[in-house]
Amino acid sequence: MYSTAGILPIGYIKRLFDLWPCSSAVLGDVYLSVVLATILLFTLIGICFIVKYTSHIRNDLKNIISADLSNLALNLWIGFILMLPYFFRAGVLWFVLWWFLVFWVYLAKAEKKLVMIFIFLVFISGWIAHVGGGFVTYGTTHVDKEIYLTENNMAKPKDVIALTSWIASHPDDAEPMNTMALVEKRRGNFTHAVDLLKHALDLEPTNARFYNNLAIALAGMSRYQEAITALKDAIALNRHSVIYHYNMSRIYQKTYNLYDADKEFGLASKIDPMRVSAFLSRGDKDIEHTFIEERIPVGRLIYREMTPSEDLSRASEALWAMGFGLLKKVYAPLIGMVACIVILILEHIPRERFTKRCSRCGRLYYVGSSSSHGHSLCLQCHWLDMKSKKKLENVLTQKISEVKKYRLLMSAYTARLELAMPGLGSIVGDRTSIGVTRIYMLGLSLVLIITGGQFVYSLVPSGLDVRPAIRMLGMFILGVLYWRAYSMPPGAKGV
Amino acid sequence: MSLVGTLKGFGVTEIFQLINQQMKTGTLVVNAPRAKISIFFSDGYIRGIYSDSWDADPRVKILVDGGFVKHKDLEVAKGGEKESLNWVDILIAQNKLSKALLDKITNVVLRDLFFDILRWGEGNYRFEEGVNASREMIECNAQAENIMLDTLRSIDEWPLVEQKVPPLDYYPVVIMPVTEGIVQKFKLTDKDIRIYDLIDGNKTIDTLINESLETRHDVLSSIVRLMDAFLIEVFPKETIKGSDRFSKMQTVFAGLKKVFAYILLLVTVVALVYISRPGLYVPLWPNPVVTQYIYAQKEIANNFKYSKQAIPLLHSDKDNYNH
Repeated sequence: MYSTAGILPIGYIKRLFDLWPCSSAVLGDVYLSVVLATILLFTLIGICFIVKYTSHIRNDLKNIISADLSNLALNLWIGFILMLPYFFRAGVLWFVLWWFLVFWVYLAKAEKKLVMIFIFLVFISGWIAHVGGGFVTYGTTHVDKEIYLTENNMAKPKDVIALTSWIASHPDDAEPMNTMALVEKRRGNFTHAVDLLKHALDLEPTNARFYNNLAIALAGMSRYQEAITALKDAIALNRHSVIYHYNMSRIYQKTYNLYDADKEFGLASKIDPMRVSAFLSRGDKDIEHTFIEERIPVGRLIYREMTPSEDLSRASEALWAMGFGLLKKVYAPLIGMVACIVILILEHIPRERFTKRCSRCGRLYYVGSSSSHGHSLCLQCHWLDMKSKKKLENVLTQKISEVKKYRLLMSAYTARLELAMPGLGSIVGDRTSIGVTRIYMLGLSLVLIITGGQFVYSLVPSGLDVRPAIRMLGMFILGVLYWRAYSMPPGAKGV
Repeated sequence: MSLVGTLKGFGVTEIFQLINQQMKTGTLVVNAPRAKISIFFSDGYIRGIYSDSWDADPRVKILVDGGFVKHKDLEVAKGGEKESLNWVDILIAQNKLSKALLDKITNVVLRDLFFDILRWGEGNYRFEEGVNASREMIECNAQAENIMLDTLRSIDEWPLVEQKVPPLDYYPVVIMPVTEGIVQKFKLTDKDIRIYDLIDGNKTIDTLINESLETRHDVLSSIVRLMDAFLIEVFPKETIKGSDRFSKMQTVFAGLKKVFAYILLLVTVVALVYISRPGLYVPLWPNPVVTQYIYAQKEIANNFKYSKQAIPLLHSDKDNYNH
């Protein structure tokens, strides 16, 4: 029952999403996997920038200091600059943001776009953490667990006590009142159930589900006319519910209005004949008294778990601290804005003040130009670029051989880097989009292998354990990535 | 037929390329706010140059300031100019000027001119077929592409050099002999070594520019590179006499600077570690609050598991039945 189910029948998966604990856990796992993979993506991109641009920053430092400092001293200083957020106990994303700002003046156009995406994510990171917190605390907030267990007849006395206590302390929350009404109804305490449902309807007068439950409670008290009125309200709010028409048909049967019962039954069958057939087969045992209760929709429970609460706030703050730390998540938009301002200021510094490496010949230069793809080009290469190929043999064979030599060196270097970390060679070799794709796949595969794709647990076990399969998938992706890095290195044609 | 364009977007390099490719004969007139420059081409080769910003032939200044020709001889030659014989021809005929030296100086003038044209952002150019050579035109014979390639490299490096250029009336002084190791470490070129060889402690930077037969930008780039390599240092005239003592002090100071860089780094790191000490070793992952919530979920799930209340996926029903 609790082991891996092998290849899942499609029915399993469909049912998973009808069950709130499972759908919440699956959505939470997917969401947190994507978030973690994205954090890994930007962290690894930051590392790629360090590999790619450290020589640039060292060259500029050397020129600024104008002292004959050894490479060791300069590297130590650069290391210190890059690790500065560590001394403030900042999270990994502070490092990434810091690195992006430090390297901003050296970045190519495509890389700058990546940084802007990251800053946008920083801007909305508070909300991202909020949703993550919603999934992490989904079993402990807003008595959602108690509501679900009660509606599914799995509740223990302590769950009912929790519901009662919540209703007392939150008189404006209608959903627990509806659930409590169901409990009272099962106990045979119809009057109290009706009172609770009427109160719930005062709070949410457009909730058709509450009207349906009210009708069932009233029918339990043999107040059929009021039950019919309640159901008519439910149908007015949702004409396409098979349950409301079916229940109406049952109540008409109770009042011996067989004509209207048959009419309502026909309407229900028209909407979903299979489901009506299921109702009938289940109701055969006690056809006279069977009414259908509508359960709280999964979407509504997910919405409730995302509603702000003390627990959610704590968890989302903790999640944000895992990524950033140092400040509270309320400052996320401010951090994004400050980063934008810093970038605006940096953009106003003339580009010729910073070292650039020619993507064609590898020479470090200051003025230069850029290719149509936005890659750095020294003026010589830019000029050679404009020349017709017919004329190249006449001109500057030395420069062309310099370009060829650099291309070969770069090709071998990026191939080695790509094998060390898929995507690293591509980023260093100015193939940003391929690099980003590979790094994201690398991050995702690592997340899947390490976590098995599981972050949150289904409160009520579904009997499925897909972690081994997810880990296998992660290993498969990693294998494919390394095979691609080996067979199609960044310098190769077509990559 | 004439070709016109603006200097924005390297338009002038494209026109040079076009002239070279199509082996054109004509005059390229570059009109910028600072000057109007005419370059005369014949079969794609540069045959002459002229700038309206010149008061006199710019080669004269280089020849005289560099000490290649005496001012007196030049004046005599200029006095003997005729319709078909100019001062250059006279000096060459008198063996007071060699053709090779003149070509080299013309090349320097040409490269300086290219440097200006390629750096100008504003202005326009016009190419007209046919050569309307004036008497002031400086004759030359050069391939535009070679000149351009060297000039582009100078422009690439110039922003860095520009901010380090010492005053031109300062005296460069050798403070360390050049070795193969230094040449490799600082990637010094032959041109840099040639400039280094010219330095004797008695010449200003301006004199070096005049004597070197290199462009002003190339000489200044070399001097900056030599200074960065700690091979030379520059002093104002007043301090030149005490330069030996000063250069020793400079060497000591450079060594102290190196040590200071390490000490400063160490002190900064220690200070920051001290300030942020309490929380520095507390890991941010995993966060205990998040772990606590996840464990709570796990515990609830385990309770259901052990009480055999797992959700039967295949048998559960979507609806509740009220009996």
